[in-house]
Amino acid sequence: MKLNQEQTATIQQLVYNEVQYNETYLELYDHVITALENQGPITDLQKAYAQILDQDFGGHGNISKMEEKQKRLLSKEISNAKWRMFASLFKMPFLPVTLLVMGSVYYFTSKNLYLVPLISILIGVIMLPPLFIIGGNFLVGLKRKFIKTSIRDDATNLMSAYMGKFLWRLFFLSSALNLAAKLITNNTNLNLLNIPYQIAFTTIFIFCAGHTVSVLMVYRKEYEIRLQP
Amino acid sequence: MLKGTLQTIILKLLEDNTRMYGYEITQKVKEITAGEIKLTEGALYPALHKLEAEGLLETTTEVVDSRVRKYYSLTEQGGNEVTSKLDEAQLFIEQLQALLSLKPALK
Repeated sequence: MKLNQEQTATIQQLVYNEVQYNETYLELYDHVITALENQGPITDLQKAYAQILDQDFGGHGNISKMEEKQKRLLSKEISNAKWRMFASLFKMPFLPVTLLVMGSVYYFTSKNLYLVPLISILIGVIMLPPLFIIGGNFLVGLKRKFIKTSIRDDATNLMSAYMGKFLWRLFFLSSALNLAAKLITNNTNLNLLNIPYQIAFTTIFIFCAGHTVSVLMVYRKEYEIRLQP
Repeated sequence: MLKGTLQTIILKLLEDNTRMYGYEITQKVKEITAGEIKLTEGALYPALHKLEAEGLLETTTEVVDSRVRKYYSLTEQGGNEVTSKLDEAQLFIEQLQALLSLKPALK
């Protein structure tokens, strides 16, 4: 039985209230309408909808579980692609460029040259992924006119926030470890983090720059996927 | 349904039908098994998404009656995976038959 316009609108609203993401909305909406059209005459639309949701999807709670599962899968897929890209920067054909950047940063920091520009570049490199991804997601939203937030928005946002979280944890853990070592040994002059600053800076710089390049490359592909009709 | 068989069923159905959408898969299973096996969409969609994430399935969308329909089809990698999944399932059924001392069905 074909649903009329009013019934379709009711289902649209019910599904809209049910789900968090656009992908689930489209899939659930098509599923419910198809299932209803394959039923006999409908006396109570809301009841029929609730029945489909319960019997086919295991109820409301299961929908959010399904969405959470899909988000985890996507985040993992995106994260794996990002780390594969990161690893490729240390292989041919990118290796010479990576080594050149590494050598230059180490040289300049050893000679105390261009420290302010280098620190500015590092900050820029850390800030670039969130700005790029937020801007990209906004543009995709304008072009595609999603009914709900895309599940890929959340998955890519997780990737953009990675570096900030990582550096904060690194700073917190290393400081805590250093403090614990001082307390245990009762030696206030002890410094476990006594690594030559040029090595520390070069390592952090290469890690952050490599991560940013990987995020941008992966996001470029994501952007194209999301603009597909 | 036994754990792990859902993926094999999906891959096999897609091998036979080129492309299918979620509801169609459940109806096909119901039709083939005369209603004995009913796939719940709560299990089907996560399995489809997992296979897609693993690169075994790809999706295309089409507007049907003013609504977007998502079709699933096998990738090249998915096509290769069907044979090994079917072999695994066949082996499992044989082992189960041996364990339960069932006679194999007449050919």
